[in-house]
Amino acid sequence: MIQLLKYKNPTNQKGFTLIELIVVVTIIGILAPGMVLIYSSILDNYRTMNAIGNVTKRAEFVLSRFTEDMNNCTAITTADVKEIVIEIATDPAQTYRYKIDETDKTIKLCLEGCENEQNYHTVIEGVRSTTQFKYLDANLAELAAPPTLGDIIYVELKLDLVFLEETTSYSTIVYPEKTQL
Amino acid sequence: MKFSTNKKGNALVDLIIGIVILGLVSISVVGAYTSLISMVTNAFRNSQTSWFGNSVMEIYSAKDFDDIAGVDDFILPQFPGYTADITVTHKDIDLSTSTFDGGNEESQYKEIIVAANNVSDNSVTLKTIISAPKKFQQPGSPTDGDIVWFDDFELPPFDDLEERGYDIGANEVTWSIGTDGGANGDNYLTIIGQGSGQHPQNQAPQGGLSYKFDDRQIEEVSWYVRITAPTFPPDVRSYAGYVVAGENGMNHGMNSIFFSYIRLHPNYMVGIIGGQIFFYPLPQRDPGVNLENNVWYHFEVKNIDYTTKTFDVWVNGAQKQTGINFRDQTVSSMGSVYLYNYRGPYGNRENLRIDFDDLTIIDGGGE
Repeated sequence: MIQLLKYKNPTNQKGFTLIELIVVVTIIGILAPGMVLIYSSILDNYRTMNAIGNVTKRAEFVLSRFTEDMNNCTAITTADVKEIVIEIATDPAQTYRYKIDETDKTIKLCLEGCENEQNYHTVIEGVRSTTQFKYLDANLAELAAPPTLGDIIYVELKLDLVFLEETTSYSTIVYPEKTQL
Repeated sequence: MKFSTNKKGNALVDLIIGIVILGLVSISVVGAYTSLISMVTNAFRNSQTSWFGNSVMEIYSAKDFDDIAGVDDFILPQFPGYTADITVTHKDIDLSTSTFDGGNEESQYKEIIVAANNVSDNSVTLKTIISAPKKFQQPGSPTDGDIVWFDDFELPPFDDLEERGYDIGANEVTWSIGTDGGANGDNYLTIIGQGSGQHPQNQAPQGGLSYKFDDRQIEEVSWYVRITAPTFPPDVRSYAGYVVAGENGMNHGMNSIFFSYIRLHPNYMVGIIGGQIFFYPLPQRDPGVNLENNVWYHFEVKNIDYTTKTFDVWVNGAQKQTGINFRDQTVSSMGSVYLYNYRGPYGNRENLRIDFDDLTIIDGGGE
Protein backbone atom coordinates (compact mmCIF):
# COMPACT_ATOMS: atom_id res chain seq x y z
CA MET A 1 0.00 0.00 0.00
CA ILE A 2 2.76 2.30 0.96
CA GLN A 3 4.40 1.34 -2.27
CA LEU A 4 1.24 2.16 -4.10
CA LEU A 5 0.94 5.54 -2.44
CA LYS A 6 4.52 6.35 -3.36
CA TYR A 7 3.87 5.52 -7.04
CA LYS A 8 4.87 8.28 -9.30
CA ASN A 9 3.84 8.87 -12.84
CA PRO A 10 6.64 7.25 -14.83
CA THR A 11 6.51 9.96 -17.52
CA ASN A 12 6.73 12.68 -15.00
CA GLN A 13 4.58 14.79 -17.40
CA LYS A 14 2.82 17.81 -16.11
CA GLY A 15 -0.38 19.16 -17.71
CA PHE A 16 -1.34 22.72 -18.56
CA THR A 17 -2.80 24.72 -15.86
CA LEU A 18 -5.95 26.62 -16.47
CA ILE A 19 -4.11 29.91 -16.15
CA GLU A 20 -1.61 28.92 -18.82
CA LEU A 21 -4.39 28.07 -21.19
CA ILE A 22 -6.22 31.33 -20.53
CA VAL A 23 -3.06 33.38 -21.13
CA VAL A 24 -2.30 31.50 -24.34
CA VAL A 25 -5.79 31.91 -25.72
CA THR A 26 -5.73 35.59 -24.82
CA ILE A 27 -2.44 36.16 -26.63
CA ILE A 28 -3.68 34.32 -29.69
CA GLY A 29 -6.82 36.37 -29.58
CA ILE A 30 -4.83 39.58 -29.50
CA LEU A 31 -2.36 38.57 -32.21
CA ALA A 32 -4.72 36.89 -34.64
CA PRO A 33 -6.30 40.05 -36.07
CA GLY A 34 -2.83 41.51 -36.56
CA MET A 35 -1.73 38.43 -38.40
CA VAL A 36 -4.82 38.53 -40.54
CA LEU A 37 -4.06 42.13 -41.40
CA ILE A 38 -0.47 41.29 -42.22
CA TYR A 39 -1.40 38.44 -44.52
CA SER A 40 -4.18 40.45 -46.04
CA SER A 41 -1.63 43.12 -46.84
CA ILE A 42 0.61 40.51 -48.38
CA LEU A 43 -2.24 39.31 -50.54
CA ASP A 44 -3.10 42.87 -51.57
CA ASN A 45 0.49 43.53 -52.49
CA TYR A 46 0.56 40.34 -54.50
CA ARG A 47 -2.54 41.35 -56.41
CA THR A 48 -1.20 44.86 -57.02
CA MET A 49 2.09 43.44 -58.18
CA ASN A 50 0.32 41.16 -60.62
CA ALA A 51 -1.83 44.00 -61.88
CA ILE A 52 1.17 46.28 -62.36
CA GLY A 53 3.09 43.61 -64.20
CA ASN A 54 0.11 42.87 -66.37
CA VAL A 55 -0.73 46.45 -67.29
CA THR A 56 2.92 47.33 -67.89
CA LYS A 57 3.39 44.35 -70.18
CA ARG A 58 0.27 45.11 -72.19
CA ALA A 59 1.03 48.81 -72.48
CA GLU A 60 4.65 48.18 -73.45
CA PHE A 61 3.53 45.78 -76.15
CA VAL A 62 1.03 48.05 -77.80
CA LEU A 63 3.15 51.20 -77.51
CA SER A 64 6.21 49.43 -78.91
CA ARG A 65 4.25 48.00 -81.80
CA PHE A 66 2.61 51.32 -82.55
CA THR A 67 5.91 53.21 -82.38
CA GLU A 68 7.63 50.73 -84.66
CA ASP A 69 4.83 50.82 -87.21
CA MET A 70 4.71 54.60 -87.19
CA ASN A 71 8.47 54.77 -87.69
CA ASN A 72 8.13 52.50 -90.72
CA CYS A 73 5.14 54.18 -92.26
CA THR A 74 5.45 56.06 -95.52
CA ALA A 75 2.06 57.73 -95.42
CA ILE A 76 -0.85 58.45 -93.13
CA THR A 77 -4.08 58.07 -95.06
CA THR A 78 -6.63 58.33 -92.25
CA ALA A 79 -6.14 60.37 -89.11
CA ASP A 80 -9.09 60.03 -86.81
CA VAL A 81 -9.40 60.24 -83.05
CA LYS A 82 -10.27 56.57 -82.85
CA GLU A 83 -8.59 55.29 -85.98
CA ILE A 84 -5.39 55.75 -87.88
CA VAL A 85 -4.50 54.16 -91.19
CA ILE A 86 -0.92 54.09 -92.36
CA GLU A 87 1.03 52.67 -95.24
CA ILE A 88 4.07 50.64 -94.39
CA ALA A 89 7.29 50.60 -96.39
CA THR A 90 7.13 47.06 -97.65
CA ASP A 91 7.18 45.75 -101.20
CA PRO A 92 4.37 45.72 -102.08
CA ALA A 93 3.23 48.42 -99.66
CA GLN A 94 0.94 47.31 -96.86
CA THR A 95 -1.80 49.22 -95.14
CA TYR A 96 -2.11 48.98 -91.37
CA ARG A 97 -5.23 50.13 -89.61
CA TYR A 98 -5.31 50.79 -85.86
CA LYS A 99 -8.79 51.12 -84.38
CA ILE A 100 -9.88 51.92 -80.84
CA ASP A 101 -13.03 49.87 -80.33
CA GLU A 102 -15.14 51.31 -77.53
CA THR A 103 -17.69 48.51 -77.68
CA ASP A 104 -15.34 45.90 -76.30
CA LYS A 105 -12.75 48.32 -74.90
CA THR A 106 -9.89 47.18 -77.10
CA ILE A 107 -7.41 48.45 -79.62
CA LYS A 108 -7.43 46.39 -82.76
CA LEU A 109 -4.96 46.17 -85.60
CA CYS A 110 -5.78 45.09 -89.11
CA LEU A 111 -2.96 44.22 -91.50
CA GLU A 112 -5.00 43.29 -94.57
CA GLY A 113 -8.56 42.75 -95.68
CA CYS A 114 -9.85 45.39 -93.30
CA GLU A 115 -13.30 45.38 -94.84
CA ASN A 116 -13.75 42.14 -92.93
CA GLU A 117 -14.06 42.51 -89.15
CA GLN A 118 -12.49 39.09 -88.70
CA ASN A 119 -9.18 40.49 -89.88
CA TYR A 120 -8.93 42.83 -86.92
CA HIS A 121 -6.68 41.49 -84.19
CA THR A 122 -6.92 42.70 -80.63
CA VAL A 123 -3.59 44.08 -79.48
CA ILE A 124 -4.76 45.25 -76.07
CA GLU A 125 -7.85 44.92 -73.91
CA GLY A 126 -9.17 46.96 -71.06
CA VAL A 127 -8.78 50.39 -72.60
CA ARG A 128 -10.82 53.29 -71.32
CA SER A 129 -13.00 55.31 -73.65
CA THR A 130 -10.63 58.25 -73.20
CA THR A 131 -7.95 56.41 -75.17
CA GLN A 132 -7.33 58.22 -78.45
CA PHE A 133 -4.98 59.13 -81.22
CA LYS A 134 -3.90 62.75 -81.29
CA TYR A 135 -2.24 64.62 -84.11
CA LEU A 136 0.24 67.35 -83.35
CA ASP A 137 1.90 70.12 -85.30
CA ALA A 138 5.56 71.09 -85.19
CA ASN A 139 4.99 72.95 -81.92
CA LEU A 140 3.36 69.89 -80.35
CA ALA A 141 0.00 71.63 -80.38
CA GLU A 142 -2.93 69.34 -81.02
CA LEU A 143 -4.49 69.77 -84.46
CA ALA A 144 -8.22 70.24 -84.56
CA ALA A 145 -10.16 67.22 -85.76
CA PRO A 146 -10.22 66.23 -88.49
CA PRO A 147 -6.62 67.24 -89.09
CA THR A 148 -5.26 68.07 -92.49
CA LEU A 149 -2.90 65.20 -93.24
CA GLY A 150 -0.19 67.52 -94.47
CA ASP A 151 -0.17 69.39 -91.16
CA ILE A 152 0.62 66.33 -89.06
CA ILE A 153 4.14 66.30 -87.70
CA TYR A 154 3.74 64.04 -84.67
CA VAL A 155 1.23 61.36 -83.73
CA GLU A 156 0.38 60.69 -80.11
CA LEU A 157 -1.25 57.58 -78.72
CA LYS A 158 -2.84 58.39 -75.37
CA LEU A 159 -3.51 55.05 -73.77
CA ASP A 160 -5.79 54.94 -70.72
CA LEU A 161 -6.02 51.47 -69.22
CA VAL A 162 -8.13 49.85 -66.55
CA PHE A 163 -5.91 49.32 -63.55
CA LEU A 164 -7.26 47.96 -60.26
CA GLU A 165 -10.72 49.40 -60.92
CA GLU A 166 -9.15 52.74 -61.70
CA THR A 167 -7.25 54.18 -64.66
CA THR A 168 -3.59 54.41 -65.47
CA SER A 169 -2.31 56.39 -68.40
CA TYR A 170 0.45 55.88 -70.88
CA SER A 171 1.33 58.10 -73.79
CA THR A 172 3.81 58.09 -76.58
CA ILE A 173 4.58 60.71 -79.19
CA VAL A 174 5.96 59.43 -82.45
CA TYR A 175 7.58 61.25 -85.32
CA PRO A 176 6.73 59.33 -88.49
CA GLU A 177 10.02 60.24 -90.08
CA LYS A 178 9.55 58.52 -93.41
CA THR A 179 6.08 59.84 -94.02
CA GLN A 180 5.48 61.71 -97.24
CA LEU A 181 2.26 63.50 -96.63
CA MET B 1 14.28 4.04 -30.37
CA LYS B 2 13.15 5.10 -27.03
CA PHE B 3 10.55 7.76 -26.87
CA SER B 4 11.36 10.21 -24.19
CA THR B 5 8.57 10.44 -21.86
CA ASN B 6 10.51 12.53 -19.48
CA LYS B 7 9.93 15.79 -21.36
CA LYS B 8 8.53 18.59 -19.32
CA GLY B 9 6.44 21.17 -21.16
CA ASN B 10 5.46 24.77 -20.62
CA ALA B 11 2.81 25.71 -23.06
CA LEU B 12 3.13 29.44 -22.47
CA VAL B 13 6.84 29.55 -23.17
CA ASP B 14 6.47 27.33 -26.21
CA LEU B 15 3.65 29.45 -27.51
CA ILE B 16 5.52 32.68 -27.02
CA ILE B 17 8.51 31.26 -28.82
CA GLY B 18 6.25 30.07 -31.60
CA ILE B 19 4.56 33.44 -31.90
CA VAL B 20 7.88 35.23 -31.94
CA ILE B 21 9.08 32.96 -34.73
CA LEU B 22 5.85 33.40 -36.60
CA GLY B 23 6.10 37.13 -36.11
CA LEU B 24 9.62 37.22 -37.44
CA VAL B 25 8.64 35.14 -40.43
CA SER B 26 5.65 37.38 -41.08
CA ILE B 27 7.74 40.50 -40.82
CA SER B 28 10.24 38.99 -43.24
CA VAL B 29 7.50 38.04 -45.68
CA VAL B 30 5.91 41.46 -45.40
CA GLY B 31 9.31 43.08 -45.84
CA ALA B 32 10.04 40.96 -48.86
CA TYR B 33 6.70 41.76 -50.40
CA THR B 34 7.05 45.43 -49.62
CA SER B 35 10.42 45.36 -51.28
CA LEU B 36 9.00 43.49 -54.25
CA ILE B 37 6.06 45.82 -54.57
CA SER B 38 8.43 48.75 -54.40
CA MET B 39 10.53 47.26 -57.18
CA VAL B 40 7.51 46.53 -59.32
CA THR B 41 6.07 49.97 -58.68
CA ASN B 42 9.38 51.50 -59.66
CA ALA B 43 9.43 49.39 -62.80
CA PHE B 44 5.91 50.59 -63.52
CA ARG B 45 6.87 54.22 -63.07
CA ASN B 46 10.07 53.72 -64.99
CA SER B 47 8.09 52.20 -67.83
CA GLN B 48 5.88 55.27 -67.99
CA THR B 49 8.91 57.50 -67.66
CA SER B 50 10.69 55.65 -70.43
CA TRP B 51 7.81 56.38 -72.80
CA PHE B 52 8.16 60.01 -71.92
CA GLY B 53 11.88 59.76 -72.67
CA ASN B 54 11.13 57.90 -75.86
CA SER B 55 8.76 60.65 -76.94
CA VAL B 56 11.43 63.24 -76.26
CA MET B 57 13.78 61.26 -78.48
CA GLU B 58 11.16 61.10 -81.22
CA ILE B 59 10.73 64.86 -81.03
CA TYR B 60 14.47 65.35 -81.19
CA SER B 61 14.71 63.06 -84.19
CA ALA B 62 12.42 65.48 -86.03
CA LYS B 63 14.83 68.35 -85.49
CA ASP B 64 17.35 69.46 -88.04
CA PHE B 65 20.79 68.23 -87.09
CA ASP B 66 22.05 71.76 -86.51
CA ASP B 67 19.10 72.54 -84.23
CA ILE B 68 19.73 69.65 -81.86
CA ALA B 69 20.88 71.23 -78.62
CA GLY B 70 20.74 70.41 -74.94
CA VAL B 71 18.11 71.80 -72.61
CA ASP B 72 17.29 71.44 -68.94
CA ASP B 73 13.81 70.79 -67.57
CA PHE B 74 12.30 69.94 -70.91
CA ILE B 75 8.59 69.32 -70.47
CA LEU B 76 5.75 68.11 -72.63
CA PRO B 77 2.14 69.02 -71.93
CA GLN B 78 1.18 65.44 -72.78
CA PHE B 79 3.23 64.19 -69.83
CA PRO B 80 2.32 66.27 -66.78
CA GLY B 81 4.77 65.83 -63.96
CA TYR B 82 7.60 64.62 -66.14
CA THR B 83 10.74 66.56 -66.94
CA ALA B 84 13.81 65.75 -68.96
CA ASP B 85 17.33 67.01 -68.88
CA ILE B 86 18.76 66.74 -72.36
CA THR B 87 22.49 66.75 -72.92
CA VAL B 88 23.90 66.99 -76.41
CA THR B 89 27.57 66.52 -77.20
CA HIS B 90 29.41 66.46 -80.50
CA LYS B 91 31.02 63.18 -81.41
CA ASP B 92 33.58 62.06 -83.92
CA ILE B 93 32.76 58.51 -84.79
CA ASP B 94 34.65 56.14 -86.99
CA LEU B 95 32.33 53.27 -87.70
CA SER B 96 35.08 51.20 -89.28
CA THR B 97 36.98 51.09 -86.00
CA SER B 98 34.08 51.68 -83.62
CA THR B 99 35.83 54.63 -82.06
CA PHE B 100 33.80 57.35 -80.40
CA ASP B 101 35.67 60.50 -79.58
CA GLY B 102 34.67 63.92 -78.41
CA GLY B 103 33.99 66.23 -81.29
CA ASN B 104 33.33 69.82 -82.19
CA GLU B 105 30.98 71.92 -84.29
CA GLU B 106 32.22 70.22 -87.42
CA SER B 107 31.51 66.73 -86.16
CA GLN B 108 29.03 64.66 -88.08
CA TYR B 109 27.49 63.01 -85.03
CA LYS B 110 25.76 64.14 -81.89
CA GLU B 111 25.14 62.11 -78.81
CA ILE B 112 21.84 62.83 -77.11
CA ILE B 113 21.29 61.82 -73.51
CA VAL B 114 17.81 62.22 -72.13
CA ALA B 115 17.46 61.91 -68.37
CA ALA B 116 13.71 61.60 -67.91
CA ASN B 117 12.28 62.09 -64.44
CA ASN B 118 8.80 61.75 -62.98
CA VAL B 119 7.28 63.31 -59.90
CA SER B 120 8.53 60.46 -57.73
CA ASP B 121 12.03 61.21 -58.91
CA ASN B 122 12.24 57.96 -60.78
CA SER B 123 14.78 58.55 -63.48
CA VAL B 124 15.35 56.78 -66.76
CA THR B 125 18.28 57.66 -68.95
CA LEU B 126 18.12 57.13 -72.67
CA LYS B 127 21.02 57.65 -75.00
CA THR B 128 21.27 57.79 -78.76
CA ILE B 129 23.62 58.91 -81.49
CA ILE B 130 22.30 60.99 -84.36
CA SER B 131 24.29 61.57 -87.51
CA ALA B 132 24.25 64.60 -89.73
CA PRO B 133 22.06 63.81 -92.68
CA LYS B 134 23.82 61.64 -95.19
CA LYS B 135 22.21 63.54 -97.92
CA PHE B 136 23.19 61.26 -100.73
CA GLN B 137 19.97 59.61 -101.73
CA GLN B 138 19.52 56.57 -103.86
CA PRO B 139 17.38 57.05 -106.96
CA GLY B 140 13.78 57.52 -106.09
CA SER B 141 11.09 60.07 -105.67
CA PRO B 142 12.30 63.31 -104.16
CA THR B 143 10.68 64.56 -101.01
CA ASP B 144 8.90 67.87 -100.83
CA GLY B 145 10.25 70.66 -98.69
CA ASP B 146 13.53 68.99 -98.06
CA ILE B 147 16.77 68.02 -99.65
CA VAL B 148 15.89 66.51 -102.98
CA TRP B 149 19.42 65.46 -103.70
CA PHE B 150 22.75 65.58 -102.05
CA ASP B 151 25.84 63.76 -103.07
CA ASP B 152 29.11 64.11 -101.28
CA PHE B 153 30.36 61.01 -103.07
CA GLU B 154 31.35 59.49 -99.77
CA LEU B 155 28.91 56.61 -99.78
CA PRO B 156 29.09 53.62 -102.09
CA PRO B 157 28.57 52.80 -104.89
CA PHE B 158 31.60 54.97 -105.38
CA ASP B 159 32.27 54.66 -109.08
CA ASP B 160 28.99 53.56 -110.55
CA LEU B 161 27.48 56.95 -111.23
CA GLU B 162 24.42 55.54 -112.94
CA GLU B 163 23.73 53.42 -109.90
CA ARG B 164 24.09 56.55 -107.84
CA GLY B 165 21.21 57.98 -109.83
CA TYR B 166 22.89 60.07 -112.50
CA ASP B 167 22.38 60.08 -116.22
CA ILE B 168 25.65 60.09 -118.11
CA GLY B 169 25.89 61.78 -121.46
CA ALA B 170 26.92 59.77 -124.46
CA ASN B 171 30.07 61.67 -125.17
CA GLU B 172 33.53 60.38 -124.69
CA VAL B 173 34.35 61.46 -121.23
CA THR B 174 35.36 59.68 -118.08
CA TRP B 175 33.88 60.63 -114.78
CA SER B 176 35.29 59.06 -111.68
CA ILE B 177 35.34 59.44 -107.93
CA GLY B 178 38.50 60.94 -106.50
CA THR B 179 39.40 59.77 -103.04
CA ASP B 180 42.29 61.94 -102.00
CA GLY B 181 40.40 64.77 -100.36
CA GLY B 182 37.17 66.48 -101.33
CA ALA B 183 35.77 69.80 -100.24
CA ASN B 184 34.32 67.90 -97.30
CA GLY B 185 35.35 64.35 -96.62
CA ASP B 186 37.64 62.27 -98.79
CA ASN B 187 35.74 61.80 -102.00
CA TYR B 188 34.69 64.01 -104.89
CA LEU B 189 33.51 63.74 -108.46
CA THR B 190 36.15 64.39 -111.07
CA ILE B 191 36.53 64.69 -114.80
CA ILE B 192 39.90 64.80 -116.47
CA GLY B 193 40.66 65.92 -119.95
CA GLN B 194 38.22 66.87 -122.63
CA GLY B 195 34.80 67.98 -121.64
CA SER B 196 31.58 66.25 -122.37
CA GLY B 197 31.28 68.04 -125.63
CA GLN B 198 27.76 69.33 -125.50
CA HIS B 199 25.54 71.58 -123.57
CA PRO B 200 22.54 69.70 -122.20
CA GLN B 201 20.13 68.72 -124.86
CA ASN B 202 17.66 65.98 -125.17
CA GLN B 203 18.79 64.71 -128.50
CA ALA B 204 21.84 62.47 -128.71
CA PRO B 205 24.56 62.95 -127.94
CA GLN B 206 23.38 64.34 -124.65
CA GLY B 207 26.23 65.92 -122.87
CA GLY B 208 27.24 65.98 -119.28
CA LEU B 209 26.40 64.16 -116.18
CA SER B 210 22.99 65.02 -114.82
CA TYR B 211 20.62 64.32 -111.99
CA LYS B 212 17.01 64.44 -113.09
CA PHE B 213 13.83 64.43 -111.05
CA ASP B 214 10.18 65.30 -111.30
CA ASP B 215 9.84 69.00 -111.95
CA ARG B 216 9.31 71.07 -108.86
CA GLN B 217 10.11 74.50 -107.52
CA ILE B 218 13.60 73.96 -106.28
CA GLU B 219 14.70 76.71 -103.96
CA GLU B 220 18.42 76.19 -103.81
CA VAL B 221 21.23 74.44 -105.65
CA SER B 222 24.77 74.42 -104.35
CA TRP B 223 28.01 72.69 -105.14
CA TYR B 224 31.74 72.85 -104.71
CA VAL B 225 34.00 73.10 -107.70
CA ARG B 226 37.75 72.96 -108.03
CA ILE B 227 39.99 73.32 -111.04
CA THR B 228 43.45 71.91 -111.16
CA ALA B 229 45.69 72.72 -114.04
CA PRO B 230 49.01 70.92 -113.79
CA THR B 231 50.45 72.68 -116.79
CA PHE B 232 49.88 76.25 -117.72
CA PRO B 233 48.50 78.10 -119.40
CA PRO B 234 45.28 76.31 -120.22
CA ASP B 235 44.67 76.31 -123.88
CA VAL B 236 43.02 79.41 -125.29
CA ARG B 237 39.62 80.49 -124.03
CA SER B 238 38.86 77.76 -121.60
CA TYR B 239 35.51 77.47 -119.94
CA ALA B 240 35.09 74.82 -117.32
CA GLY B 241 33.08 73.55 -114.42
CA TYR B 242 29.64 74.05 -115.89
CA VAL B 243 26.62 73.67 -113.67
CA VAL B 244 23.31 74.21 -115.42
CA ALA B 245 19.84 73.72 -114.03
CA GLY B 246 16.46 73.83 -115.65
CA GLU B 247 13.36 71.84 -116.39
CA ASN B 248 13.60 68.11 -116.72
CA GLY B 249 12.94 68.32 -120.42
CA MET B 250 15.40 71.16 -120.90
CA ASN B 251 16.59 70.84 -124.47
CA HIS B 252 19.50 73.20 -124.32
CA GLY B 253 21.47 75.11 -121.79
CA MET B 254 19.80 78.24 -123.05
CA ASN B 255 16.49 77.03 -121.64
CA SER B 256 17.75 77.03 -118.12
CA ILE B 257 17.26 78.80 -114.83
CA PHE B 258 20.93 79.35 -114.33
CA PHE B 259 23.97 78.56 -116.32
CA SER B 260 27.23 78.91 -114.52
CA TYR B 261 30.77 78.17 -115.47
CA ILE B 262 34.24 79.26 -114.68
CA ARG B 263 36.16 81.07 -117.31
CA LEU B 264 39.87 80.66 -117.33
CA HIS B 265 41.05 83.86 -118.78
CA PRO B 266 43.77 83.37 -121.36
CA ASN B 267 45.75 86.38 -120.34
CA TYR B 268 46.59 84.86 -117.02
CA MET B 269 49.62 82.90 -117.90
CA VAL B 270 50.09 81.52 -114.46
CA GLY B 271 47.42 78.93 -114.43
CA ILE B 272 43.92 79.84 -113.54
CA ILE B 273 44.69 82.39 -110.90
CA GLY B 274 42.71 85.50 -111.50
CA GLY B 275 39.81 84.02 -113.36
CA GLN B 276 36.30 85.32 -113.01
CA ILE B 277 32.96 83.82 -112.19
CA PHE B 278 30.16 84.57 -114.56
CA PHE B 279 26.46 84.20 -114.24
CA TYR B 280 24.14 84.78 -117.11
CA PRO B 281 22.97 87.13 -118.27
CA LEU B 282 26.22 88.93 -118.72
CA PRO B 283 27.72 91.16 -117.61
CA GLN B 284 26.67 90.18 -114.09
CA ARG B 285 29.99 89.19 -112.75
CA ASP B 286 31.90 89.42 -109.60
CA PRO B 287 35.47 90.50 -110.11
CA GLY B 288 35.95 90.14 -106.39
CA VAL B 289 36.24 86.40 -106.64
CA ASN B 290 39.56 85.32 -107.96
CA LEU B 291 39.99 81.71 -108.79
CA GLU B 292 43.06 79.93 -107.71
CA ASN B 293 44.51 76.70 -108.86
CA ASN B 294 43.52 73.58 -106.96
CA VAL B 295 41.24 75.39 -104.53
CA TRP B 296 37.64 74.49 -103.75
CA TYR B 297 34.97 77.13 -104.26
CA HIS B 298 31.49 76.81 -102.85
CA PHE B 299 28.74 78.09 -105.11
CA GLU B 300 25.20 78.54 -103.85
CA VAL B 301 22.30 79.56 -106.04
CA LYS B 302 19.66 80.53 -103.50
CA ASN B 303 16.21 82.04 -103.26
CA ILE B 304 15.19 80.80 -106.66
CA ASP B 305 11.93 82.65 -107.17
CA TYR B 306 9.62 81.25 -109.81
CA THR B 307 7.34 84.28 -109.67
CA THR B 308 9.91 87.00 -110.19
CA LYS B 309 12.14 84.57 -112.13
CA THR B 310 15.21 85.57 -110.18
CA PHE B 311 17.78 84.05 -107.86
CA ASP B 312 20.71 85.07 -105.68
CA VAL B 313 24.28 83.84 -105.74
CA TRP B 314 26.68 83.19 -102.94
CA VAL B 315 30.30 82.22 -103.22
CA ASN B 316 32.22 80.82 -100.27
CA GLY B 317 29.48 81.88 -97.90
CA ALA B 318 29.33 85.48 -99.10
CA GLN B 319 26.46 86.89 -101.07
CA LYS B 320 27.73 88.07 -104.43
CA GLN B 321 24.66 88.82 -106.50
CA THR B 322 20.97 89.30 -105.91
CA GLY B 323 18.01 89.21 -108.24
CA ILE B 324 19.76 87.59 -111.15
CA ASN B 325 17.20 86.84 -113.83
CA PHE B 326 16.47 83.32 -114.93
CA ARG B 327 18.33 82.68 -118.10
CA ASP B 328 15.04 81.62 -119.65
CA GLN B 329 12.16 83.64 -118.27
CA THR B 330 9.62 81.03 -119.33
CA VAL B 331 11.01 78.37 -117.04
CA SER B 332 8.69 77.72 -114.10
CA SER B 333 10.24 74.70 -112.42
CA MET B 334 13.39 72.66 -112.13
CA GLY B 335 13.82 69.01 -112.95
CA SER B 336 17.47 68.56 -113.88
CA VAL B 337 20.94 69.71 -112.93
CA TYR B 338 23.85 69.13 -115.29
CA LEU B 339 27.55 69.08 -114.59
CA TYR B 340 29.88 69.14 -117.54
CA ASN B 341 32.57 70.83 -119.52
CA TYR B 342 31.94 72.27 -122.89
CA ARG B 343 34.07 71.00 -125.71
CA GLY B 344 33.56 73.52 -128.41
CA PRO B 345 35.75 75.65 -130.53
CA TYR B 346 37.12 77.38 -127.47
CA GLY B 347 37.59 74.42 -125.21
CA ASN B 348 40.61 72.21 -124.98
CA ARG B 349 41.22 70.93 -121.54
CA GLU B 350 43.63 68.05 -121.71
CA ASN B 351 45.52 69.75 -118.97
CA LEU B 352 42.60 70.42 -116.68
CA ARG B 353 40.98 68.43 -114.00
CA ILE B 354 37.56 69.58 -112.82
CA ASP B 355 36.26 68.36 -109.50
CA PHE B 356 32.78 68.67 -108.03
CA ASP B 357 31.60 67.92 -104.52
CA ASP B 358 28.53 68.20 -102.31
CA LEU B 359 25.99 68.73 -105.04
CA THR B 360 22.85 69.78 -103.15
CA ILE B 361 19.35 70.39 -104.44
CA ILE B 362 16.81 71.72 -101.96
CA ASP B 363 13.10 71.78 -102.59
CA GLY B 364 11.09 74.91 -101.92
CA GLY B 365 8.04 72.80 -101.18
CA GLY B 366 6.02 73.60 -104.29
CA GLU B 367 5.12 71.43 -107.21
